Amino acid sequence: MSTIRGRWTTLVLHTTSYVYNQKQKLLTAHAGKAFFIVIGIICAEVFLGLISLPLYLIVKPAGVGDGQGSEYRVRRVITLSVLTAIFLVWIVKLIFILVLSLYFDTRAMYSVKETSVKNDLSSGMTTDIALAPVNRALSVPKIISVEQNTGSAVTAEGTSDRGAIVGIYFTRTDDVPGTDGSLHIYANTADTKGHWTHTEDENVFTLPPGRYVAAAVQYDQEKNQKSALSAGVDFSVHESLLQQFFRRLDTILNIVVLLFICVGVVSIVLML
Amino acid sequence: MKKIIIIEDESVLQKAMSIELLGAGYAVLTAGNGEAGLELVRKEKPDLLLLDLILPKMGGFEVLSALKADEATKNIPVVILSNLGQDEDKKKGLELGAVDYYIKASTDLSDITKKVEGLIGK
Repeated sequence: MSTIRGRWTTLVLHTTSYVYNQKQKLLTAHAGKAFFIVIGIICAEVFLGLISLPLYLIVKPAGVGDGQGSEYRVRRVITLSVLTAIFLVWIVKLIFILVLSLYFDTRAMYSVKETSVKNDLSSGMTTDIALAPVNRALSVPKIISVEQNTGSAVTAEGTSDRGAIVGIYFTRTDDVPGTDGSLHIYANTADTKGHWTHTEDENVFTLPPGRYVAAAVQYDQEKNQKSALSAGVDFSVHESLLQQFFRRLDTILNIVVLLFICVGVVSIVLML
Repeated sequence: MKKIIIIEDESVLQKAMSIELLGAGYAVLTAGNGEAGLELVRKEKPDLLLLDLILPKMGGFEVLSALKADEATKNIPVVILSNLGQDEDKKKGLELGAVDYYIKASTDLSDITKKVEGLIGK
């Protein structure tokens, strides 16, 4: 027991010493290095706060002076803030995972949104196209290209009969749970030369990252018939590094917390 | 029960050292700055003083000088435990009358307990 106590108190001693030495280095460090030193100090302070919390529960030595000074208060605020933030995040996650699933069917937690774009012909048109029977006598449109713009919106371009209504299908082809077979249909009109372009409106909806195949049909609105499906064009929707970072932020934060706990546990085990 | 005073401004370290020494069977008093510590030592006449050097209000070297200059406290053994690791600091501390000098970054608190036991017994 005394050995464990000795290792623990020594760990506290060495951590406070590390913090002191880092603060001394900070006085002479340049901008870039200073930033990392500050991060190191904050991590060490949080670690120190965690390992020293029990000290305040089990010992109350008779003392005088500035023992409960501003530094202690700052450290306690940092530690308790981080602990509270972690606690709240995990509680919210638990509520989502445990409580909401009791009241909703798991699949009901995913909602399917009606998507529309600014050059959509009408909200009902895509449904009409999807349900219309195929008439193989109708001309089959052709997709020339599908490209992702600088943002995340996709532009498809092709040809058909002049002034024809064209239905554009984007079907997800990669095997991602919850997205299997997702299909997005848009409608557009070819110009007088038989050229059509469809661009997603980033403010309304863009395809989630993944692999897709694009195909098109020509739609005869009067007869409510559509042509056979054109040859498919494969394309991928990529994410920027920033988008990847934000999508994985939750995972990253959890890993940071786990690493932090592991470092603490390993440190204590090594000291023992 | 032998009495030890710790003069250390770092609250968490005060408590860590207190736990170590209380566990070893000593009575422990603490002070958070040099001035209050000096006053406490003069009042309590401890069996040993554990002294930090970087302290608010009055530095550790000043406290040590004042204690050694006072007939009533000059025989109290003083052990320094500091972040200052330069040879000149160590030399100065020992010249002023400290019985030993420990650097925080490379010290095991159980070594200090053993040192204390060697100096004043249990």
